[in-house]
Amino acid sequence: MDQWLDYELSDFLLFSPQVYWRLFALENAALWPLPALAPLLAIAGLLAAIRHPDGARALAVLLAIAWIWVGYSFLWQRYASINWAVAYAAPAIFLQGIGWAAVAVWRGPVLGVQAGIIGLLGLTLCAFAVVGYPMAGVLAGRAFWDAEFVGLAPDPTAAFGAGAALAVLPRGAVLALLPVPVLWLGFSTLTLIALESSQAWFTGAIAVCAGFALMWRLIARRSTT
Amino acid sequence: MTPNRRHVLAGAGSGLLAAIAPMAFAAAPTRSELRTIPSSGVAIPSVGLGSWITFNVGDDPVLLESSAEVVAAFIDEGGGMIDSSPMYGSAQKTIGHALQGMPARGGVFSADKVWTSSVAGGPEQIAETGANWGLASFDLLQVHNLVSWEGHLDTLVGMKADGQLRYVGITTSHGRRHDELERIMRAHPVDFVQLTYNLVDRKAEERLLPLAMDRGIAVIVNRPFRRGALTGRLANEPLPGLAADLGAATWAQLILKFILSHPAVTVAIPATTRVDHLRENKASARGLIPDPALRQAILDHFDTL
Repeated sequence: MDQWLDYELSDFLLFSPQVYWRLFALENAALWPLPALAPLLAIAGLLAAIRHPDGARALAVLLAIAWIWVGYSFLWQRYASINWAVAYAAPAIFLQGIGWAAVAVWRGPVLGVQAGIIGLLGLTLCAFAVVGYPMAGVLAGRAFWDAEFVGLAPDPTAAFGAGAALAVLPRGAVLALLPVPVLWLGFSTLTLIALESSQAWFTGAIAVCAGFALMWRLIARRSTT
Repeated sequence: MTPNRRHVLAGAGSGLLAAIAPMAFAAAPTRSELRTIPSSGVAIPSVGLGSWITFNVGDDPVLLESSAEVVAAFIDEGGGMIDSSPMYGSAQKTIGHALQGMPARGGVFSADKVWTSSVAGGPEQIAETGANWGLASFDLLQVHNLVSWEGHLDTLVGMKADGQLRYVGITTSHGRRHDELERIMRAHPVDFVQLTYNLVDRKAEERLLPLAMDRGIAVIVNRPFRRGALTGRLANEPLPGLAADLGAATWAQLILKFILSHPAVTVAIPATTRVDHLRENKASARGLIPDPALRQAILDHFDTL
């Protein structure tokens, strides 16, 4: 057991920064024009959820598709080729998509933007996911269309999914659908730290905020909505 | 340091006059670049090529081709050991891609590892490794980081007895589990041991390197540059005057010459993504190798930095 104390985070890194960041460039190039369309769809889904209760179901459909697509196209087909550990995360990502699909067809109380600070936090995380990740790539010196986009890359999709869960879902659904994005963002933060990327701060902050929100929802009294 | 100091060609004393193996080198290595594998007497270039991190490029077409260029340059510079592992992501497939179309084995001493906790799964993993390289058999297979070593060592020894494998080895890195490795070296018939050794990580000098010499076990040195951290740390430090005397133009070359100057070392396996660094690494095996006095002078200088 003592031998594990000798290990550093970098010992678990299997690939170089160049290889990692090129994954997103290659994915975006292969899926063009989706990198331009996916963020617009995310914004449209969020606006629909804000303006009309049934709009939240449309957002849920978009998130179901996004999670399953990211799990298949990016994690399974591309990232797993350089990081065998990701193959073990893919099932959880697929389940996340199935979970959001279940929300879309759920015949329970009408969904809608949650009042108060949790709802506001959720909307803020969604905004960071759509705008922040591409800008983070540009600030790091990468071309805009080589950046991570919601619906195509796991980190912004997890951030957007976490935000959407906090923004539109009742407590029980939040507890079901928030842990996976929080765990993924935590895992990705550790990866970015090992890559010595300043983006670790950005993703880490999102992971911490989403994590605290999850704990808050866990211990808060049941909401009547 | 006096420029008239006599330099003794040390470190190559493990057998420069050994018979040359039937390996087709594109550019035949000079005798100073060769070391002898003790268990067979076969000569092998003393600077090989690692693949940890550097060749894990997935399906990236640009990086696959640049990796192929590194392998082509390696063969052009005399070839030798290329080392990989199932743990290294897609590195095996990258090597296989690079070796496609080359003459049989292309001057490459193929070295890979078995890395699974399931002893029963070892043969299947080895077969998959062969498919990734595009090879029917390997020169050397090693138990990676002592994972389930007892069972896998039995498997590899059996493969060697059946003529499916030339050499059997076992690996560790970062200076870990040396006590256990020492017990294995004393009790089991391994041809190669792979461990970490460089200007910082010198724990192997205490027991493992002398034991390897006593037992006739070849030594492969991994992490010669600590995955770039050592050369990065020294990048802005001036080379000592003795470096020029040895023909070392960079810290990477001086580090490799230091490593190769230990008489127990058979081959070092620096990894790189750059053809110029590859050629620089291979060049370090040529010419003068430090004698014990120069080894100490290098260490003394390094300790001042």
